[in-house]
Amino acid sequence: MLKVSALLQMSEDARDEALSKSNGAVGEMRKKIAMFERRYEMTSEEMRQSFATGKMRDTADTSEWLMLLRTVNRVG
Amino acid sequence: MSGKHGPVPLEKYLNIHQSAMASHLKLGFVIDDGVQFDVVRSHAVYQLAGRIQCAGQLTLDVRKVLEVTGREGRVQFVQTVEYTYHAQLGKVREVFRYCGPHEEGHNDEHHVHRFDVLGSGKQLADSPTFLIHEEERPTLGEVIEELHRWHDTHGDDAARLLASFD
Repeated sequence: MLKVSALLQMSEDARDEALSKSNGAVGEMRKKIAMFERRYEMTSEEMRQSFATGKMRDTADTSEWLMLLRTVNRVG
Repeated sequence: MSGKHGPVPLEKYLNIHQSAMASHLKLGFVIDDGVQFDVVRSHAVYQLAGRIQCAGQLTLDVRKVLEVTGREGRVQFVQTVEYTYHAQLGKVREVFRYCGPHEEGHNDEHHVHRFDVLGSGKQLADSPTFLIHEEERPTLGEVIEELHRWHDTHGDDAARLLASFD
C-alpha cells in the first residue's frame, strides 16, 4: 500500500513498477470477506441471498461485504 | 463527452485526490489522511482505501475501486467502478454513507443513507436517497466538504452527545 503523495513523487518508471506489483489488495479483501463470514456466521453466498430477499439490511457491513465480493469477482 | 465521473488519466486522478486532501488538511478539518493506494490487479484495477480522521471525532472510511478503462501510450485512464464513503461520529453514531449500486437486487442505484445523528441514531425515514443523475453523485472532496459543513452546524451538539457516552 502506498500513500498517494508517495506515488505522485515517483518517476514514471518507478510508478509503472509500483503499479505492476501483484494484487496486494486482493489478499486484504479476501481476509475481510472471511472476517465478515465469521462475524455473521454465514457464507458470502448466504449473505447475498439474504440481502437480495431483504432478510439482511443494507448496512455499512453488508455494503462493504458485497463490494468486496464484486471486486474479487471482477479480478477473477 | 466525459461526465463528472468519467475516465481520467490516473496521474490526474491522483493529483485531484492529493490536492483535495491537502486543501482540507490546510483548513484544519482533516487531521489525518489515512487513505492509501493499492493494486488489485496490476495495470487493470486499483483501490483507494483507508480512514480520514477529521475534527470533532468525525471519521470518513473510504473504499474506492478504480478500473483502467483505456490507455494512450503509458497513460492509463481510470474510472471509479465501486465506492463507499462512510462518515461516523466517534464510535457511537453514523452520519451518512454513500454507496455505489448493489447489484444484488436491493438498492441497485447509487444512493446515500443518512442518519438521525443527534437523536435516535437510526436511519432517517426518507433514507436512502437515490442519486439517479451523475451530477448528484459526489466526489470524495465533496463528501469531505459535506462532512465539514455538518461539523460546522452540529459540532457543539455532537461534542455534548459524545460526552454523554463517556
